[in-house]
Amino acid sequence: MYRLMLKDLRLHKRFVVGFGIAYVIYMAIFHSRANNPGAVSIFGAFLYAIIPLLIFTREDKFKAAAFNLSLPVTRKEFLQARYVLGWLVMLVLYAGTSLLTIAVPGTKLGLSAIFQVKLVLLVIFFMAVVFGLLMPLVVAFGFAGMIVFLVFIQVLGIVSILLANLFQPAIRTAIQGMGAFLGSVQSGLGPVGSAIALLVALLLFSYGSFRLSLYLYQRKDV
Amino acid sequence: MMEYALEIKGLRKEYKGFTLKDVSFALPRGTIMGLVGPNGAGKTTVIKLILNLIRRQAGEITVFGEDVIAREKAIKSRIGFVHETPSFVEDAKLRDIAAAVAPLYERWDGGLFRSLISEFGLPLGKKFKKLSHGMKMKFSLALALAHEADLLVLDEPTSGLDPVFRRELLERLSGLIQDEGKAVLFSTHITSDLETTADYITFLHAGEIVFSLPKDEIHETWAVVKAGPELLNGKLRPLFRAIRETPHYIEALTSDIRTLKAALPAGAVIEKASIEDIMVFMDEGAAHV
Repeated sequence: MYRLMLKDLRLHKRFVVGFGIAYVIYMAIFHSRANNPGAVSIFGAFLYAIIPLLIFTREDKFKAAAFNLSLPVTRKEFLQARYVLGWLVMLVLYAGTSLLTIAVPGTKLGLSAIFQVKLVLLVIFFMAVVFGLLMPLVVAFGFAGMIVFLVFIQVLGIVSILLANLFQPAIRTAIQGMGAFLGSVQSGLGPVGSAIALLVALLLFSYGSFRLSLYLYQRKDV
Repeated sequence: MMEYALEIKGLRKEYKGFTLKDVSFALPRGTIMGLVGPNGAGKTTVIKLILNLIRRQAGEITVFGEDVIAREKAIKSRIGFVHETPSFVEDAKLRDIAAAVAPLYERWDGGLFRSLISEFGLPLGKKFKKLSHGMKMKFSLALALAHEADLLVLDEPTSGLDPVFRRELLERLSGLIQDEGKAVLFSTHITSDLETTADYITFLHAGEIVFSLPKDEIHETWAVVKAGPELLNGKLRPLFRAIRETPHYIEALTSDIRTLKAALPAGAVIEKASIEDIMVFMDEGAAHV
């Protein structure tokens, strides 16, 4: 797996380094000016998840899939390496952005504001969800799969706004119900217990995403 | 018992508008096989199936006696593959591509790779996208040869190469199989390459195997017969694989010249069929019998 991760990093190093540095600087400046670190973190998490996927879609762009799969690796190993590399890239981007945010002159955010447990968990939650949802689409449809997902998110947003106006009481009740459920889980498990429960749930979700990606990949003709 | 580097039985793959049907052939160790056929015959599909790049609907493929799906990793480490249009990450330098690929092969020979790079005149510091098609093909060949593969699977390896390098490559392939354990399967449109290099020819047409035979046997049994209209009398007709009619005479391709010879009308001309003759006859322009 390590060799496969290294292969991807070697082949895409200009893209990873160039794009990664530019992105970290941009996000850190954006972050440092924010009044609401939570909202910016969620936005950032979404983008952290997109970047490793952009690396993987380059295989699609260069039609290099046939060569990759002619190498002495199984599709399962290939995918395992991509999930691990994806998480490494996301975490490095997150850590890099957070540390640089503190160092930006005139920043509004200090170490304690950025590394609140709840905020870190929120970022991990969004990274896991976006990456976990997008990976099977990228595996099955390449770059087009990612674009379809992003368009779908936009459409979902518009539909939600429309529905919110139509079914405001029902939606409010549903959100309140979900909030109450999460609140009761949190009070039942305690802060540490609920954090562990969340991480376990995300781990299971990521594993489900991996199994779905593998199912699709093993049936894909390249 | 003959040991095969590659054995294919009853292979089937369906696409919309094209089906590879019941393809079976075997490549003995220590030999070179040319896979020929017109465009769209299914050559690349067969090669992709060997490498498990696409899924088969039926059939069996074994390399050195092992199933290519069950033992995918071990088998691929013994295969050197060159795609008809070599595609790597375009903005990566050749040096980086080689460095990324090398650790995946246990038998990667860095010294051999460097000598091939120097022999082929490839600039390691150049980006892949800056290379011409011929240079890309050479680089792809260097990667395929540097891990001392036992089976080389080459899809149109000579296309886009200059005649000098083409000849060198064919000589290299011939030299490679001096090691009796190795074998080469290559698809090509350039039939002269087959005449000089191949030991076996497998001919595909419209997704089906027309024949898979030793080249010498093809030269001994396949022929083009030229004669007047009496050539097509009821008795002889079943012995022809394809017929071409002109206003003045008839040309017909046979795969059984020994049987046909005795029954031919006086004045009939028999010519050895080249691989190109067979391809042309079996493709458009000849009425299949």
